[in-house]
Amino acid sequence: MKLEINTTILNKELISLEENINKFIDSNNDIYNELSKINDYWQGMDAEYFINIINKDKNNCILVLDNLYKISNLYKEINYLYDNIDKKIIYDNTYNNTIMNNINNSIENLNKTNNNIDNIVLPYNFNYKNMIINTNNIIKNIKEDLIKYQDSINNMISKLEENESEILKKISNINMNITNE
Amino acid sequence: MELEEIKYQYERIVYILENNIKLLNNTYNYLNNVKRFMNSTIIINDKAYSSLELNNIIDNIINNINIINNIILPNIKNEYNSLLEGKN
Repeated sequence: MKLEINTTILNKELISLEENINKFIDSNNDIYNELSKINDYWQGMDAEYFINIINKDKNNCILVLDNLYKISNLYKEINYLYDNIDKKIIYDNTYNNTIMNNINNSIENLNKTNNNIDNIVLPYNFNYKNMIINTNNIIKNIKEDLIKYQDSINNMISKLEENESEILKKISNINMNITNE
Repeated sequence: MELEEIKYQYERIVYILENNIKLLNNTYNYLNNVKRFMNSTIIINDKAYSSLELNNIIDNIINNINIINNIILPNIKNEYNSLLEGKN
């Protein structure tokens, strides 16, 4: 699964969408104000017919506005899911398992290296004892750093996956809502 | 301590250290794979996600391979040879 979110473009789209929504509201208000003035000149059956048509049109506009707000809210939520809206993030989970397997194999190898040294019998007065112990300690530290790195990658990937599924869910929800309405 | 026993201990240390170098070399290759696959997994602002932590870990592993390979092992082997020459 690959999802590309360019939050810079998304943010620009959001600003433009909100401007257009406001223009749409203003323009509708102007039209209905003018229509209500004209309404004063109509009387009887014709007036009722005229009011019905205007109300029907007003209701359609309310539905359109509602959908536009939903899209605008979706944009806002997607922006919110990515902490930094100036970033373009592409995430492709194809190699997740390969990455994790390689890290696990590395940790396993470092463990074996440590175990080998821990179980070694060093001759009495062996000149390189401290050197070997130091190297072993450094390898233990590398292993700890690698475990921390694994945790941070796991966190980053799960956050990206969570965001991705949230976004897809929201997009499919809004598509369904718009189709239904 | 018997010479044979000391010889065995030295040979065992050399064997274990050589084996550890192989393990560290494998680890180095695994981590380079991680780096390579991470480059196509997460891209931020058109740049592959690069981690300073991972680069440091890889550098530390190379340093350790070099220390064992170029300093510890040759010295132990020399000491082992002198031990054999001295006893002979």
